[in-house]
Amino acid sequence: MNSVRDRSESISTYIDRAVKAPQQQLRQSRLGHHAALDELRKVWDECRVANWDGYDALPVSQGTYEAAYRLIDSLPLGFPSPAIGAEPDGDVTLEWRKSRTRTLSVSVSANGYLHYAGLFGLGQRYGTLSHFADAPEELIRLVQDL
Amino acid sequence: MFDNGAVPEVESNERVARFIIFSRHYRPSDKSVKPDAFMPHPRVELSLTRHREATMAELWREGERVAALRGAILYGRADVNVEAFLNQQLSVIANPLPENLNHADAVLWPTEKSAQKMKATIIAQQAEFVDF
Repeated sequence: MNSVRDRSESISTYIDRAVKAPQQQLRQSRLGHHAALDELRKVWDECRVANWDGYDALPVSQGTYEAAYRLIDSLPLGFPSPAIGAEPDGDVTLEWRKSRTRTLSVSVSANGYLHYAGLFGLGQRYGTLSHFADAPEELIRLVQDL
Repeated sequence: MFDNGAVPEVESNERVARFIIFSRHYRPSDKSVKPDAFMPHPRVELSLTRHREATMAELWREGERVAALRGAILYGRADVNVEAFLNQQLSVIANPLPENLNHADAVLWPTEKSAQKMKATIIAQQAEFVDF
């Protein structure tokens, strides 16, 4: 019985590795968002102390960093990568910008909400989305509408 | 800078500055300013410095003072007309401080965050980044 169980485990490990390895390679390629994740790390390093903006800004917490990491990592492969920033209430910002009049900023916090505001040519849109794990479809559509 | 005891009310045609201490609050590629730089917090007000009656040297001295408070680099300032705030149904009121008599606050921000971001986005679009 042990040899049957051992054999099934080694098969599942093989399949798991065989499927995940190409996914990992894709995520590390130009289609992935590792550059944005690197930028996120730099922002967190700089903004994890209080008053990082000179105007009493709150520090970016580890929970916020992790929420932003998960969101960026869940963006579809080949999707435009955001520029990373931070706001004085400790939220991380993700910004997609095509031009001066086509820009979207999304605030990520640890509480599972995404607050966004954007200019879409002559129009404006703003609101709040829920975010638990993967990037919400509405966020994907907002970026595509830029 | 203004003299103590003689600080006039803010007028709509004035220019105000927001000092940039965080490198990611502006875009070096085109010297534009991000909305992040104009988000009000921790109080629902935004700290500004009025250009009126201030020389460039005095303005930069104030920027250096703000940067020195946290041992940070002063990258520049975001200059914008008071009218940009008024057009967003905000108010800019004089709030002189002992260390900065030209200090003012943009107030009447909505409490809802995405609404704050929308106003900050439009104001930032009209701001001009000036290198230190």
